[in-house]
Amino acid sequence: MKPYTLRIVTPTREVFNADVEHVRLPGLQGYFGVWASHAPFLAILDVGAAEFRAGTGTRYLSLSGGYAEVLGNRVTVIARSAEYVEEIDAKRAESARKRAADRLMAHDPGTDLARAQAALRRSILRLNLSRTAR
Amino acid sequence: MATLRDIKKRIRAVKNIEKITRAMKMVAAAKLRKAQERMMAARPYARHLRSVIASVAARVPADVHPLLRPNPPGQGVSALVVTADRGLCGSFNAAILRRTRRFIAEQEQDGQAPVRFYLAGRKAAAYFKAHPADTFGTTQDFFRDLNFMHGAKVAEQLVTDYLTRRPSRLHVIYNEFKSAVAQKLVVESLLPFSPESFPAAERSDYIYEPADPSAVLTSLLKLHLEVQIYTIFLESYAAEQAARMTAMENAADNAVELNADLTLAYNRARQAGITKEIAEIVGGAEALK
Repeated sequence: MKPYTLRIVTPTREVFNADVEHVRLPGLQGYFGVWASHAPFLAILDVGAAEFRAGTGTRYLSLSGGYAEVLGNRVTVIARSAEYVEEIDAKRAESARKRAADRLMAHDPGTDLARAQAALRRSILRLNLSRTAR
Repeated sequence: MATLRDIKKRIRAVKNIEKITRAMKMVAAAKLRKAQERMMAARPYARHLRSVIASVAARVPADVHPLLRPNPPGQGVSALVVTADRGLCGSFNAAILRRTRRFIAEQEQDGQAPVRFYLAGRKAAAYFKAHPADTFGTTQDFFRDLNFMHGAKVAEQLVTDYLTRRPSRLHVIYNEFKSAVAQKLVVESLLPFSPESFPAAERSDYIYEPADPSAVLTSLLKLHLEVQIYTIFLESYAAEQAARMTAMENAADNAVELNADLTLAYNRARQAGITKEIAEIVGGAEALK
């Protein structure tokens, strides 16, 4: 397939900026894939796994929300955070999962439910990804 | 008159002050470098986000969006005040708080009372504990490990305030990082966003997902505020470290100067003592004759 430019930026760094053949992203309404010459497209992204194929191999990342813009022969992913599977700290994810689960189980009226749920989803995603990577 | 021992004690103290302030300057310099790197790292993100917003905003009638339109007057204004968590950085915090007091007076004169504050930084929180003001949120002790999520949390509370209490504007008062030797006190409007802050973009007919462009725009604008708050915190943190560097350098220089004066005083006192002793001995010898 024809390659196009994929760029993934987060507030802390530019994660990726090079040519890929295909990328699969977690849209708010389900996963979608982009090949070259896609129509202009703007999607809100959910917490989820992303993967892209460039030349020799496929790389996987965990994304926690953001936007994807497909315009011309360029895909820009503006993510709140993004990390490659290899970078995921499984221990940290596990303790984050436990913390979030405890907060949800405590039934404390002071907890921000949406925030705790989001944290739980992020940590579970990271755990799953790091397991499949091994 | 200070005795020799007193002066010696002070010399030792001043020497310690010099050592400590020099060390603090080094620490501030290292932290400044790190903060600057993070500011650089956040720039591409902010740039891409602005250009995406611009292309969406071009397709949605901009004035209908609540974050792009000032609230009707009558409910006063809100302001985010950003100081540091720590002191020993010259007039960094004092300047912010002084400006904030003036800000209140200005707004009241404009008929924009009440002014309500969101306080960021331990120094702001401490100040407004002693000088009560109308606050709707506080966050402190976060600069040491500042991350994007924290900025996002603050932004969320600011948006909620803007949309529910409906102040006519949201301002921010903070120190902007100009260079390692200069900070600039900035008072500016955060909300509503002015459409000019988004560069004119190529109009492209996107396929939206979710299909409603104005919903996408809402979520984009919220993220934009998160990025702005995060950037402001980074700027303020960098400016704080720069201010501390200057303050500590001055303190160390003053310590050197003070040390020179004290050493001179010490030697004079020592010499005076010796002279006195000799005079006494000579006097004693005379008396024996």
